[in-house]
Amino acid sequence: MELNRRNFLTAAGLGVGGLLLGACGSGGGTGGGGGGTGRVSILTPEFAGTEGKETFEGTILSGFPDTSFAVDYTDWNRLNEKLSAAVAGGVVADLIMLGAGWVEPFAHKGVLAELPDSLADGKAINENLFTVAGYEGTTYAMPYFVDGRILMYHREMFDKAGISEDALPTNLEDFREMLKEVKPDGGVAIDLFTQNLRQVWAHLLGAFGGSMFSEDGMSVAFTDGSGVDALQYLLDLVDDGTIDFSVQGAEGQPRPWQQKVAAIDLQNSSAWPSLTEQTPELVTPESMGMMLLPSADGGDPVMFQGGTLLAVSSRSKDPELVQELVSFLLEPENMLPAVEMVGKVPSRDDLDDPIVTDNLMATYIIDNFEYATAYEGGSPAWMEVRGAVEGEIEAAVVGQKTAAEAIDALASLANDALTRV
Amino acid sequence: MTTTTAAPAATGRRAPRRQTLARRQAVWGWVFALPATLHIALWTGFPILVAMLLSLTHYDMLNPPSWAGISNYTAIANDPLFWRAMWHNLIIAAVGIPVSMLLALVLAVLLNQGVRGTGAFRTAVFLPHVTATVAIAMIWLWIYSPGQNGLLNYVGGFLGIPNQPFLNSPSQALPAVILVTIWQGLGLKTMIYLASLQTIDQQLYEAAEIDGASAVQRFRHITVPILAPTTFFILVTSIIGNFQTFDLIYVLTSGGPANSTTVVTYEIYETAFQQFRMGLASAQSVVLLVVLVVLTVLARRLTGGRDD
Repeated sequence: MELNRRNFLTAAGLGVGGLLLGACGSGGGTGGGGGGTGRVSILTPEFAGTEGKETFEGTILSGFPDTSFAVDYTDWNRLNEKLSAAVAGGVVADLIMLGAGWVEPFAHKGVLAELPDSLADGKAINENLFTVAGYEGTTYAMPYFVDGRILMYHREMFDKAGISEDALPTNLEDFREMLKEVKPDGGVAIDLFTQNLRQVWAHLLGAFGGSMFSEDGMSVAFTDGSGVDALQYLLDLVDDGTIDFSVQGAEGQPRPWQQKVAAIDLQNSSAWPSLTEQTPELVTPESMGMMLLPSADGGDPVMFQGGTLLAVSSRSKDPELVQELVSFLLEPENMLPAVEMVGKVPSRDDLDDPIVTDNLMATYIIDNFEYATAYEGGSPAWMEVRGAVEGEIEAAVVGQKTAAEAIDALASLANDALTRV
Repeated sequence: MTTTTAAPAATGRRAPRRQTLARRQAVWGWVFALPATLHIALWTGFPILVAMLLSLTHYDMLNPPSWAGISNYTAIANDPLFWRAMWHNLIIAAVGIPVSMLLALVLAVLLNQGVRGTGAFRTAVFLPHVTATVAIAMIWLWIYSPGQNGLLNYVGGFLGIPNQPFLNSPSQALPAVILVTIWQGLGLKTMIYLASLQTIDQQLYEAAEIDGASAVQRFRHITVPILAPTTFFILVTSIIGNFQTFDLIYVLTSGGPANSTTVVTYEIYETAFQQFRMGLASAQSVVLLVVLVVLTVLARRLTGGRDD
């Protein structure tokens, strides 16, 4: 091998990647090198904890014949670095569970294998959910779970304000006025700050008809005015006093909505298990109402769509086997125990089982799948941009920047990232 | 005549033996030092070298590095967030280190008085140092929690103080973090000072007392100068430790709100493992290394250059 600067840099880079992998890769073990026939390695941010592992491996995977598994459990915060370190080290898991907005960056870099559309045949997965599963017209993932963002409200507070269920606002301006009426004494009308602020802004961006990136994901789209409008709306709510940055949930404690400090909560549907466990009396049909965020112009409401997707590594030595596993995981009898364990919304809308039907958030989201849209992501540059969004939005919310300044800074950062794609 | 010729002859016979002995000692010295040298070279020297090299590249871990020249350093120079993080580190160091060192010295002097229960006090003071930072951060998250669920706000409620947002406020978050760093670092500093205090010859104090020196004078003219090397050690390790703070920020604030508590190591982490710009992250690490070297030299000058 000829020794030149490029080769040396490559070797040095791989060396660092290997060291990083060595540092990060504790426990689990992916089996490395793509498994091979009869052995599949899995990287998942779901099923953490003893019960989760028992359900996933003991109940679900044990039903997949003649295959052994090496499952690497992580959480959503570490998934990004774990996956990238694995790619650098050449030991990517065969089956990767990733989030909405992640397919484009990793498909662009050749990490994910193409999946045949036929994999979804007979699975009753809502067509709308596939918008986050492809890149440049090719399918790279299958929707597994959905995390919808919906507005949950205390009926008693709405009743007190004289707002009935059939007279809920249908545009953002009316919604803003309604917030002033339902605000409880000493509290806030709506808790928007316990959620990730990046996703709150992205949700509002969708309500204003905007999107983060262009259709091909290669240019910034939120600079058309929708980005500023969405952020300015948030700042207007701060000015109204209907939201307050200092009122937000703390780690390990009930959310402001659960403490009745907030009349409405922008909730992630994956919170259902903790809500039913901590405050079951608040999440009954009698005490809780649900609605979607209205759009700015009074058109269709909007629902932010996150979720968990199943993807196959392009380096898998036995992609057919892993595709079979993906298909297996999407079967009703295998999906139900998974849904029961993680408390999320299944991507299938044909699961008529109490595990799903008793979950009020899940049934509401399934009923509204048609409005589900992944308002973040959509570009190969997304993983580089996503970490910086929250800081800029927060800077505007706490008065350090105007909406226009924050969006300009964000656009500059996103454009810079796009030049490196 | 005989005498004058004998001496050089004797010297001529002994010199090779001495040189051989010295060489042998040097060789054995190197042999004994070899494991540590190799360890440092492999686990410290090589990564630093690679980081310096990578700092001159664009590298996203997924594709081979490509030459970037000094563009990463230019990007750092033009990145206000990086310098804001550096500024936060300097504030934490400038406020947290002197306060914690002063408190540690006072506590060490008190613990050195030999009063009853010193062992229990010593354990209590040292406890934060041996507790995992993540556990500490979780406890402080509860203490700082907004609303009446937080310990501070709960206690403040009795005193008529309105609820404070603490970590949710851009103006209160950094002071809140500094308080945790002071509390966490107090134990080790106190123990080091205490160990140093116990080596001071009591006769020095007795002699000074006989000469009429007051307690303050004895502290100022005996204790403080003798503790100077210890102070230098604590200062340097505190500065380095301060600039290495990551886990506390990661758990407590994630650099927020609105980047008001971000520090250099957190920015390096974000750049490397969220944005996958390993070249830029390496350049940030090199800049941090340079800053630490400069601060260490300054600290050496500040303490009179004594580290013996």
